[in-house]
Amino acid sequence: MRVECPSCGASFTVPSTAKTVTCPYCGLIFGERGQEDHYYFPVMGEEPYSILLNFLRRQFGAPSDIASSSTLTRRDLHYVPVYFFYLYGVAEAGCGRDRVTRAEEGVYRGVVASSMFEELLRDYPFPIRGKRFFRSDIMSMGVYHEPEFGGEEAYKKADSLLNHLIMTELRKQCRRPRNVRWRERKIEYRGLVHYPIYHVEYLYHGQRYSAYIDGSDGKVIVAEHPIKLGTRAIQLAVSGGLIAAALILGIPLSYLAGSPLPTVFSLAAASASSAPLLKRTVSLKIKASELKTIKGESESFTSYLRKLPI
Amino acid sequence: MSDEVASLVCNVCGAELKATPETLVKVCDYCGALNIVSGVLEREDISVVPSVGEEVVLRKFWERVRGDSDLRGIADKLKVVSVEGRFIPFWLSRCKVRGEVIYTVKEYSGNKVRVVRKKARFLKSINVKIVGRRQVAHVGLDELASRYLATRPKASPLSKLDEDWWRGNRLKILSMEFDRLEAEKIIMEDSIDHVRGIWERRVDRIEFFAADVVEMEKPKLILLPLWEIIYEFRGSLYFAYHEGWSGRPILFAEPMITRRRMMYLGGMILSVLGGAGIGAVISLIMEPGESGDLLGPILLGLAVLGILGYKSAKGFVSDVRVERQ
Repeated sequence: MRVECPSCGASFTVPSTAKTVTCPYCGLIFGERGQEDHYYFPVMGEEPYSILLNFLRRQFGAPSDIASSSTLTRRDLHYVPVYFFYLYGVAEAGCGRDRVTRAEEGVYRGVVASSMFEELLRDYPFPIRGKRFFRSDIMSMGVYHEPEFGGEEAYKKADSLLNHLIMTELRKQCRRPRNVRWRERKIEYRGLVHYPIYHVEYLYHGQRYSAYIDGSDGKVIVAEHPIKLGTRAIQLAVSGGLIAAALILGIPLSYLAGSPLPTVFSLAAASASSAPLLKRTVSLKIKASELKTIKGESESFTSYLRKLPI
Repeated sequence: MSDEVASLVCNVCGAELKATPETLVKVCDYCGALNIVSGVLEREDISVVPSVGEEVVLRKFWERVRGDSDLRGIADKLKVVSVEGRFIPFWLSRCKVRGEVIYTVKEYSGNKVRVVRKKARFLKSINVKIVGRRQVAHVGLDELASRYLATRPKASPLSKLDEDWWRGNRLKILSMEFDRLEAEKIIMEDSIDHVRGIWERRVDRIEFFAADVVEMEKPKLILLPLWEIIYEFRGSLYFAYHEGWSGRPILFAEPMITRRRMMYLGGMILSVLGGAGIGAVISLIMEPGESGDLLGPILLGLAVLGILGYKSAKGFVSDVRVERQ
């Protein structure tokens, strides 16, 4: 719809969802203010590609020349439509014969209204504060995605999300909860927010890798990277060597002892050792994310678990 | 361009503060002081643990590098790439959680196993610490708060910090997203989750759990200084986190050095040798037909060897070790 700025008279187009807008010419904010409005998050000043490179250089297993030998091939800013909600629920359930257990959840959640980003941003910890009233120039700053469904559909999704959260909580406290009764249930719509997400692609030794970075605070949501070539060769060699050693040792011993046990035991040990080596060797691309925390103990375990091979 | 501007002035230096009504606290652009803009936040409940300077933090960094058996040998190949100190807001409180739990545990007597159902009531006091920002907890934050609770360095109330202090402050203050009311809700939920987690780890299965927070200390907001040092070794970056009140490291990521990698390789080889050896010994002492009795020890032996081999291999493929101080 077309609106006119009451201060400078400029005329421009905004989506009908925006009740309060910022004039792209003089900056005045006008319109009716409400909590159920159309907002956006401003994009950060930092360069997403340098943030990505710094992140990749810290990744366990990435080649050490990942920063110096890669080139940027794509840098798209997307404004993703997200319906923000505050969900609050208190429910009770019967447990066993005469016990009652209670669950309470109060969370902020975003319902992503874009199929392209739904998977990526599922359960994403969107910031609650820092949003600004909609301004039409963001529609031309990057790839502007129209919401694929309206507020009613979003409300239904938020509703089932609240159900899921409370049921999960109840199941943690009771093996078979029955007669779930809701004591309180609030689904507060907080507005449609267009959130900036950067999609970056880089080329490394002829292969393309993709990454998504939060355009508001620079968090690396997910980034693909290659695994060191040298490491792969070593891992393959070592696992081959272990299995060979197991057979070389085990077979003669088994022959002498007259039992398969020595071979079985040594092969079992060799297989257990080879599993992590071979698994990692096979994956061509590793996905890493800043969203998962790094735990200190059993570092080799967790740094390996953080990676989701494609 | 222009935000929604609330006309406010800094309560330390008097300069104009530009803030949106959504902002809880705002750092003054002129003197750097922290100002409360909106939300349920009382000045007397906010305190700051002052930080040492960058030189002290770097000194402790190099002390650790030179004192560590792995890093000592490569110390001259390490290069510090960035050093940054930040104040992280934490809400701290103490909660009393009362509740009831019904659980099952396995009880062993001889070689018989019984599943026993037990009931317990509890009243547990716990310290709760939550980061005042709505995001997945970043590495180092949990360690920072735990170290604070363990060592209790002196904290200065916000009101005691004057303009000189703020102007001399070099650390960036991370904005907070929760006021006290929101923090209280999260603290209550977190304490129940925490206590349930303790029971989950202790028992086999929880059949019933119900708990309530019966007492909660008024949450206090405290800004804790965290220093992040990024250093480079052979083209890859590693991090080190130091607490700011004494400058000592709390979390250190180290490159995997060759010597340690060889140790892991040794572990893998040992598991294979051990496998062959144990297999041979067992088959030699065993009479034919006795294999049934020895099934237990055989499986146990296989498990031990498997775990040794697997864990050694995981260490071998890793490029970094993270040490908690």
